[in-house]
Amino acid sequence: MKRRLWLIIVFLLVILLQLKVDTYRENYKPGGTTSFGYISREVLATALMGLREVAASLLWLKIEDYFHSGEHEKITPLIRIITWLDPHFIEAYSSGAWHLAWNSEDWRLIPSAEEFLKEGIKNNPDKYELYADMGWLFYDKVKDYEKAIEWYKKAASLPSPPLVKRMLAHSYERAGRIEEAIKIWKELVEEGNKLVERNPNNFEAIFDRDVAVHNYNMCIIRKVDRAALAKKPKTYYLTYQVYRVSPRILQVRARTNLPELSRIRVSLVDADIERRKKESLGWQLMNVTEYRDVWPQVKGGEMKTDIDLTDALKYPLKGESFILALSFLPQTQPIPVQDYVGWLGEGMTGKDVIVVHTSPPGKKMEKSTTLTLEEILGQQTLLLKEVK
Amino acid sequence: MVIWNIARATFKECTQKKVMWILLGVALLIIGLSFIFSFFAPSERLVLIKSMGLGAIYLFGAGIALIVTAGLIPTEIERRTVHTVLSKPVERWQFVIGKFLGIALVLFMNLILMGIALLIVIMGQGSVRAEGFVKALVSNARILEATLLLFFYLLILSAFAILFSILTTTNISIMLSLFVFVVGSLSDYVESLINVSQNPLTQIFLKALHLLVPNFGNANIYNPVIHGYIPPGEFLYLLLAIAYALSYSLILTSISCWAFAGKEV
Repeated sequence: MKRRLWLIIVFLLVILLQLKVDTYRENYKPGGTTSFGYISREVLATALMGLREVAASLLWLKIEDYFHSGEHEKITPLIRIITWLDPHFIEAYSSGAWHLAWNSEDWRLIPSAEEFLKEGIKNNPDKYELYADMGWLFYDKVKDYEKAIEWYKKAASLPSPPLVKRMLAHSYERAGRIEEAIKIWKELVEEGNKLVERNPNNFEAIFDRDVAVHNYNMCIIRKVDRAALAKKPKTYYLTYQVYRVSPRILQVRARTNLPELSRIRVSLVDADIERRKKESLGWQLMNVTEYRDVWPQVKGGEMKTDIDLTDALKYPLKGESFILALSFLPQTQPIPVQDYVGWLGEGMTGKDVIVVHTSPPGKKMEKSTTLTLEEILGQQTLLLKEVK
Repeated sequence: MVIWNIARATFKECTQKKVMWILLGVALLIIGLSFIFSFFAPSERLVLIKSMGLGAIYLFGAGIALIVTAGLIPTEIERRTVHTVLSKPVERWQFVIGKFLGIALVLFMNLILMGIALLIVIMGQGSVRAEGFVKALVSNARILEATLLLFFYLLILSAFAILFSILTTTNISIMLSLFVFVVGSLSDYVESLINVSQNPLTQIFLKALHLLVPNFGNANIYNPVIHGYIPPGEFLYLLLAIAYALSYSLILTSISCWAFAGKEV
């Protein structure tokens, strides 16, 4: 009787302890917002044994294999599973977004990369890395510098290395907000000086400080030089012809007086691309065509580039009409080109120049034309359009 | 004193078993194989080393607890050495408790060795050393915290193995204990099923299962340890989780003492 009573008492204690432990237990589970309807058996078995992080690490090793064997299409689904298993695996979000936005070379997947990073931020709000990745996505890929500023600001508000603040300053400069850029560089110089004073042998701090000093000086010089551009803007023009070389291959030949090495953006998208994107499910964008090339350069007053749409998976051409556009965005230009046109096009004028916003004054050049499906798919080599 | 002597003898006996050293050696080898991750970025490498290392400690720790413990008492009975011990002024409950404490020492030694090995491997990473030795040691010492918490939960597993080995044979004891370990490790999953289930009867059954089966999932604090964050109320959680493990072990050891008292040897 005594034994039974003893057992019952201790067992009740065990149950009470477990109930109390359960109230804290949620903090130790990986948690996360990703949900999955399917998952491979071996991963599930390992994960269910409570070793979700181990399963995630094993899959991470597999990703390395796929990357080196060129099986890139298998990487993104696997990364989704990893972040489901371990939502605090920051590198998985970073790498997944990179595969989507850069490695896939598919512009349709950029919103997915953005969503993926947002999901990572939701699961890891206190870590600077994913905010910085989001900043880099907008700075380097999308080239929307206002959004880059927004994300780099968030990253810099958390404990982070000086690189984050440097990127914030670069984003301000690219956005034409030169005073704010100068302010950040000045702060970085002052912070660097303090670190070097504290430890004169800290070579990393010396390097960071010197970079900040250089960029601070360059911003001051450019501010003065480019202020003069707005007073005497130059007239620029851009005309182009579109040829069909063969079915699904077009050639654009542009003539312009834009500075040497200016980059002209070439894009060809469905005329109703926004509607098509909305109707697509998640990452399945099988009915959307979105071709973009940010690299074509002006050489000797001309720019010639091919639009290769032969990859039918990437460019399904399901619509009836498409918009072909050539644009010159001063913000995205290399620094030597910006020295002629200004940060925001303040040194540009002419009938081909469009005013995008007035405060701060922003200009760009953009000329578009509509192409039909028949025009793109036709057999003969032909001049399709001439845009003046 | 009698219990302590039996514990020491048990510890000595276990350390003479090759199987324990083989398991420990394989675990240390897996932990030490961090150089295979050298082509990963430093932050990725750390996550991989920590997760693989803690996973190895979890699985090999459980393996050692099962294999070493399950054979202890049956071997004593087979070799009839138990008669020699019990012919001296030693109570049967003292014999069982002594064995249990001996196993606890063996597990403690193994887990600490594995935990320290993992800590050394982590501290050997360039990115960790760059933080500064003391800062890095303090932030990564939670590896030992996770390992020590696991130690208390492996005591439950050992207590099960002792109980089953008194009631059955060594092999059956290993199988039953392994079953309990697997079911107990699924505790987090069972709890999540309670929320998913719509049927009140199923919910009651799952809740009972969650509360009655030893909850090895309580020892899993790996996510915060791997990613370096401290959940709120961690100290209290650790105290509660350890109290749970000790209470569960106490129940099982008590039952083992009573079972062994009535067993013909």
